[in-house]
Parts: sequence; C-alpha cells; structure tokens
Amino acid sequence: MAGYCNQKGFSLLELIAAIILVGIFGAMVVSFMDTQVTQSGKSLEWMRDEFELSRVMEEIIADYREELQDGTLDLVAFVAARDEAGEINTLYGAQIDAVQVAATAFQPDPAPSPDYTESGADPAIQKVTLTKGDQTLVTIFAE
Amino acid sequence: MIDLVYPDSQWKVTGMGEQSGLGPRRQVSFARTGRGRGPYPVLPGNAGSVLLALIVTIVILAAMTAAILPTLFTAEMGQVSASGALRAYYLAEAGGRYTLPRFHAIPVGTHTFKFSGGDTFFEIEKISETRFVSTGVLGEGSTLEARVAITYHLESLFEYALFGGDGITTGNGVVIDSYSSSGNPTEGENGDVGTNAGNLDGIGGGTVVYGVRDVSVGKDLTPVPLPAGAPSWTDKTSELNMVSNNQTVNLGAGQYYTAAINLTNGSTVTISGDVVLYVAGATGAFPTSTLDITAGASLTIYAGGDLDLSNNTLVNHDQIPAHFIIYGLAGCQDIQWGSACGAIYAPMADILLINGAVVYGALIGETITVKNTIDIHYDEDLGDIAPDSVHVEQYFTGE
Repeated sequence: MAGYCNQKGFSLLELIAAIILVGIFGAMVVSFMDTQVTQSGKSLEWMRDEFELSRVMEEIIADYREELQDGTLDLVAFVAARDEAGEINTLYGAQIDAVQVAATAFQPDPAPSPDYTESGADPAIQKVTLTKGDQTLVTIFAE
Repeated sequence: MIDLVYPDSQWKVTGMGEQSGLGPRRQVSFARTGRGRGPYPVLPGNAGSVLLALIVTIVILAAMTAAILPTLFTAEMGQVSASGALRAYYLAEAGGRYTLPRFHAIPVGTHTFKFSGGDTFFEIEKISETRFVSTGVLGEGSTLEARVAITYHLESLFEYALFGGDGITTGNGVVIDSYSSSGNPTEGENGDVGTNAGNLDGIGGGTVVYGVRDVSVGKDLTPVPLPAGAPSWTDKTSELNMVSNNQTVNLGAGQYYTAAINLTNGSTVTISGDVVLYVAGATGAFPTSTLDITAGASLTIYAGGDLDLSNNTLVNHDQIPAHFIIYGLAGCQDIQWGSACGAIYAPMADILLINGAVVYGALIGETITVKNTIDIHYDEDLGDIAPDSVHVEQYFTGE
C-alpha cells in the first residue's frame, strides 16, 4: 500500500474541477439539444400550416377573380360566405383554425405626407386573415 | 527501466519494475516518439493529464458545437425568411387589388399604405397611368425584413394606331406614324398596326407604316361597358336630336343622354367642359356643321348606334386626342370618320376613313378601311389612358 502513496493520480481538486466543467458544458449541451429536439418538429408543423393557409388563400383568390371577371362579384356577399372557418373548410376541403373578415379603409395621412393609414371601414375593401396554428396570412380583397 | 519501441509506431512504452507479475513499483507511461505530437501532452508523470484532456475535449466539442450552430441557425433563418416572403407576397397582391379600382385617383409617385397595429404595409409606386409597382413589406429595418414587389401593367385600349379585329384595308398615299401630344420626345415610329386575323394583306403597297405590323394578336375586342346610370343622365334629346340650321348648342361639364344627334347645316355643338355623352341611337352631321371642343374641355361619347362624322368640322382646340374619345357600344357597327384629333374604340364597328383625312389619334374597330391620301399620326400618349386589361408584368422578391 505504501507504494500507492506516491502514485501521481487524480487530485481532489482535479476531480472537482473536471466535474464542474463537465457539468457546465453538459448543461449547455443538454439545454441546447433539448430545445433543438423538442422544437425540431415545430418547423415541419409551421411549414404544413403555412402551406395549408397558402393553398386556401389561393383558392379564395381564384374564386374572387372568377366572379370579378364574370362581373358577378358582390364583395360583401363573397366574404360573408367565407367568414367562418367551418365555411372555408367545407368549401375548400381545408383544416384552418380561424378566419377573420373585416371591412377596412385607408385614410390619407396629414399633408404633405403622401402616405395612408388603415382607418375606418369601407365595404368595398375587405381584409381577410386566415389562421392555422401559429401561422397567419393576411390579404385584401377590393372592388 | 524497460523501453519498448514498436517498429511501425510512434509510441514508446517506458516501464519500471518487473516485467511479469504485479510489482509494487510498476509504473508505465506513454510518450510519443518522433515529431508527431498528439492532442495529449506528455507531462512528467500523469499529474493533471486527465483535467487537461478533459479541457481539450471540451474545447473540441465546443468548437464542433460552434460549427453546427450557424448551420442550424441559418436553416431556421431560411425558413423564417421564406415564411416572411410568403406573407409579403400576399401583402403585395393586396396592394394590387386595392389599387386597381382606384388607380386613376392615386397620384403618380410612391405611397405607403400602413396597416394598423403592426410593421406591415404595402407600398404603391405609380409610375404612369398604365403601370405601377405594389410592394408588400414585413418587419422593415429588421434582420427579418421581407419585401415582395409585383409590377402591374394596365394595357391600354389604344396601343395601336390602327387595329382591325378582322383586318385592315388601306389605299394609296397613306402614311401611318406616331407622335406625342404631350411633347415628350418621340421617334415617330410607333405607328403600329395590328389585327386578330392571320394577315394584314389588305395594307397595300401605297401605304407606309412607321411601326410594327402585328397579326394574330388575340386582342380582346369587347365593347366597353356603358357607365352605370347613363340612360338616366341629363336628357338633351330635345336639343341634340335635331340641331336646327345655324343653331348653336352649348354643353358644359356634365353627363348627358340623348336619343340621337343630328347636326344640320351650319349648326354647332360647343363643348365647354368635361362632357360625357351617351348617344343611344345614331349620330350624324351635315358637312357645314361643327363639333367644337373648346380649350381645356373634353368630350367622351358612348355611341349606341352608327356614327357619321366624316364631312363636318371637328375642332379639338387642345389638339389632344385624349380629349375626344368615342366608345362604340354593341349597337355601333358603322362609323365614317374624317379629319379629326381624337380616338375611337368601337370593336363591333366597320370604320371607314374618307379620302384626304388627317387623323391625330387612334382607331380600333372590327375592320378598318382607310381610303387614299391619308395621314394617321398615332398619339403615343393614348397608351396611358383607358386601361383595357391588367396583367402582371414582373414579379420579384427583395429590392
């Protein structure tokens, strides 16, 4: 046993320092990897939701253009037929969570500004917001 | 002390004590021979070597993590950017849909339309009366800023000097060229002629066209719609249906309806404001009558019947064709026209231009017949009015 007294192995200080370093680094790696692992599916979910919203929006725009070209467009009636998620999901075989439809308008900013700010409600301008999960798409229909 | 050096190795093993059995003083250390120095430094004994190895390992792992992080971050940023571009695209389209019905009310220049409660907006840059750019913008000034721009081109009804849906026939001594009534520089060689038919063989050798000759154009020749409420406009039938000899009728700015127009000998109709006139029936005029559009005034006629203004005097004081425009409706199937400064869009009509006429403007009809010794000067500024159809000319992201 006496021989082991001179063995130059790990000192307590080394061990403590090593444990602390491993702990700190491990904590960093675990927390980072945990975020990456738990969020890794989120991207796919976002993409899927966004694709669905985009598809539905294109379908609505196609209907809008068709009625506009036919001269049959009644914008208020058009959006009224699509102002609930259930209506849109039935019309387009979709699975969106919510839809918000609101008449809007743009008023000129005080002169000399050439700009306009959203204010008021003009039935000839309808803002449509589609929502699915964390994703939203906004556009305007006008006549 | 024993040294073992492996012939094909850079490693040397140094041992103390007995070679066999478990001697109490056995100590073995490893050292690398030659010039190759590994990641593990050689120390006297092994004091602190574990800690150092650990630190080196951590540094290597940290470096690897640092290398991976940007990759992960870039991938995520790419996805966020794509998502922003999609939203910006719908904003740009929203700007286009908002602008089209109000286009002529929006002044030339750049205008921002801001949505309430956010940093999203669309920007309309009106370049001319037929072209604008709608740009959707998200998160302006941030690292995640997304911009998508769409250029819209509103095709004019009057993009040709002469357009005959079924063809054009011309005589001798006919010259077709172009100019600009606003005085903008022009080379005079935009006197284009076109048809939806397969050829322009009706244009004879005695005709010089300073412009292109387009065939099989596929232009939509639908009559413009009659403005809502036109039959109920102020009725001027009693004054215009038969303008008596040497009588003068003055029309100030306004919208008017008449069952027909007949200008008898020496009669005059004076237009002294911006007048829009719906003529349900035919329009005719004796040679000595005059249609006088005064300076600063304009006349737009929606012709429901045939029209003969070939022999009387047509005066357009401003010499701007856009100030005298005739839209032929479905019932307008025959037009005879003489010297004038004006433009006709009558897609159902056979338009005849009589001998010796000088026209500043444009003629669009089902067929166009141009007699002899005629000059037609297409006004390029007509291309900026009366949008016919809209198409997306250019689409791009970013700025």
